[in-house]
Amino acid sequence: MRQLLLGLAVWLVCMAASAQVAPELFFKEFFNLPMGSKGLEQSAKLTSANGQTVRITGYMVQQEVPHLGRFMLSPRPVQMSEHADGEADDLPAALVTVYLDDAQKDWLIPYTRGLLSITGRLSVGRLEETDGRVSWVRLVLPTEATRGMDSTELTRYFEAQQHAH
Amino acid sequence: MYHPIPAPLYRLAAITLCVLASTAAQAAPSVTRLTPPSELFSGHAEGPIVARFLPGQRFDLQATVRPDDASKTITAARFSIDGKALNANVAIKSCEAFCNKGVPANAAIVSSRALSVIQQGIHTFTVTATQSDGQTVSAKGNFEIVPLVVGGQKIKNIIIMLGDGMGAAQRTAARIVAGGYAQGKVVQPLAMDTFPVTGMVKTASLNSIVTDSAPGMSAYALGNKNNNNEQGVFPDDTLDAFDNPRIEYLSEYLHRTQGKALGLVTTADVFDATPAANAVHTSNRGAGTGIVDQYLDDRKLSGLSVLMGGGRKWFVPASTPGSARGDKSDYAFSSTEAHTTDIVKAWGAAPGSKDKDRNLLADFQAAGFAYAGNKTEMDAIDSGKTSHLLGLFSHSNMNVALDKIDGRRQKGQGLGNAGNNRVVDDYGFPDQPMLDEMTTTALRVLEKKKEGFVLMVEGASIDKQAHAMDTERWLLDTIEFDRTVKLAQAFAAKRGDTLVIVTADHECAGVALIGGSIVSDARLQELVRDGDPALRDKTVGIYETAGFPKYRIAADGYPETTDIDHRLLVAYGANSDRFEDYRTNPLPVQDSQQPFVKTQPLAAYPVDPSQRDAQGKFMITGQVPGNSAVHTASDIPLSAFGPGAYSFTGVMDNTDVFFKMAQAAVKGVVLPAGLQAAKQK
Repeated sequence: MRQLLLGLAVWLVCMAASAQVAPELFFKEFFNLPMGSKGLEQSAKLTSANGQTVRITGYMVQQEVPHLGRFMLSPRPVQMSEHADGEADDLPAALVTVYLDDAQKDWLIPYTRGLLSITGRLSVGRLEETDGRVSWVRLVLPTEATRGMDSTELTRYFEAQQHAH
Repeated sequence: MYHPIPAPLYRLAAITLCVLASTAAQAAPSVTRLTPPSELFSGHAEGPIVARFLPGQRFDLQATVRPDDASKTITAARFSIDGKALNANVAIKSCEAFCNKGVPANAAIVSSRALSVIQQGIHTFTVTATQSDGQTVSAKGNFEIVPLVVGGQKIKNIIIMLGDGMGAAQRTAARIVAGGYAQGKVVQPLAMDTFPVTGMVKTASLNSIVTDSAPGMSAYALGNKNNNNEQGVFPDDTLDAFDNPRIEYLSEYLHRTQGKALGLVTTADVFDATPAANAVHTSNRGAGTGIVDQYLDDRKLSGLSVLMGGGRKWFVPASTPGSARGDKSDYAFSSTEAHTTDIVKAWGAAPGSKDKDRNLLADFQAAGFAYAGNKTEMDAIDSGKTSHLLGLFSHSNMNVALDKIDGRRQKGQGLGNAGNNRVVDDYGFPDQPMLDEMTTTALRVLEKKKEGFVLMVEGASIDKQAHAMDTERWLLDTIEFDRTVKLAQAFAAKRGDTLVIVTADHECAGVALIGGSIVSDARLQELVRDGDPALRDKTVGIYETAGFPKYRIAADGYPETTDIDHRLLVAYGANSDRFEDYRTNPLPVQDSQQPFVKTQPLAAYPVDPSQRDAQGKFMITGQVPGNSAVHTASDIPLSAFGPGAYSFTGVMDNTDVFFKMAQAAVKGVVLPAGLQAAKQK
């Protein structure tokens, strides 16, 4: 399996080259808050954005065992200790799994500090990942954002598109 | 005429003969694993005795037997103890695709389930297996039945206070912060400091000097060493995480023989290893769906009556948003193969089923459990009318004490993009109880149990936040834990029939209290902001320059702030690479490049470690790989209170703790041999 390192800092801002900015979706808008005492309830805003291109800002979850081609984005900085805690984790319920393009599904994404602003196609619904973890909200990066790039070019591209606050 | 054999052909013939001879000499089936584990089998030595049980405590016998040739099979097997053949059914399961890599498909897993031995002393057990060509193989192991002696008062209740990852340094740190020192004397000792008896516990697991929480807890709960990541079972050669050879838990033994109830209270997700290693049998501590199912389905074995913590994601059906239930983390025993049907028959255990759509929350309630989803609902429980209680206060692990207390103090730290911005708001659970509040409710329910109870209370994030090297977060969780110890102690003092032990499962992060800051917090903030390259040398006070850090404790029992002048400084010996600025992290895990996004423009963030160093951040090189600090092999303290406490003095193995608790509950409290008065002549 080919594993490529995507450079030291991957600012995953995959906006189209045009100046058009995708509508922003906040983690706080995922579920009706506070959570009820049974399960969670997805908000109308989240479900209506399913399939749309949106921008979400959050922190890359720091994992001991990162998965190839995907990472988790959280409203809080979270460091997981999978070896000791397994799935007893401190991940907030509002969580997004970000997928690279299918052509980069074997790429290892290094942990990147700081707020990341990710634009991609939103996918809402239950998905059991290969490792058994269930994800409910995913963001799939557009193919054209990173097509044909090697890891260095991709890093430079992301750096050039840092999200300005 | 003489025709010599050409040389090459001669050699070939010789080699062929050799191969035939060696094959003939080695051809025999072999036993490659024999359970319970013993040095007699693995190391061909009489000791140390690895497996020990109480008289009558149930356990499984199992062996992995490999035929000598791929064309053969194992056709029969029997177990005997001390030379006497057992009557129990022997299940023979051929591996096929069902075993671990490297185990041949025609190997057989042979098991006899739920056996027990009454007679005390060391016993030898044997497996004898027959191969399809009639050859037999035998292997021998041993175990011990630990004698219980007639003692004094029989304790009715056992409370195990388990500070996960809480070594001696974590205890000391909590004492310095919560209790304070004056001229070398403690102003207000921790509750656990006032326990009359303290000993040291050796924490190794079956397969490592460094344990994790699963075998760490199960050593106390069943008296045997388990492998890391495994709980309630001995290791085996199969892929199934729920079919391993089982060992009866203290909760199960005391429920079966005395009718005692079990309570589990934790700040972690309730499926986590420490609570589960009191009632659930699995070789995969991460198999959440199966673990929470087993809590309910096997409650008749464990006596489970109170279950409180986080982890609602495992209890709601897969169709509910946020549910983590899945078939990959569940189990279902075959209904036709004796290998697993014997678990159901002999143990009386549930067969399980792959039921990700199960509404376990509803099933608990249907089984008579009252349910509380937040503190308000918990406080509304009428404990006088409640015999069974389920409390699930968050999605996974509960928020830690620091964030819960900041929430109660209305202290916002969050991203602030909408409405309330406390950490507990960001997680969506603003109304979570503290550990002491949960435990008070649990004790009100459990104290009505006529036959008594076993209650395990876990301060889970002492460990989890030490992994993250987040000093103030594990510190406040240790204070939260000690507040809970205090009320358990008061409960025991009032009743006189309850044993309380306070201990850990292992130490976490190699915590060392290196001294105190020699600067004010305002000065420390300047040093950090300026990225002063001498941050360490300008901050760390050692020996007498450390003095006595003085934290002010608010009415809620926690420090008014942890960012005081001349603060306590903590180092980590089992650390991964990290940055240190000595200040309280505003967020659950520090993102060391930007203490807070609002105060530092994102564009200024450094993009690689050299830029971080250029900023003058103090980077500490890790001594372990990865991103987290790790557990250590250091002994940990254990303190005991109440009748039976005297047994817990000295340096003991973690498995000894189980036998001491069982002695006090089954036959009455005894003094350790070295403390008994000389016999009068």
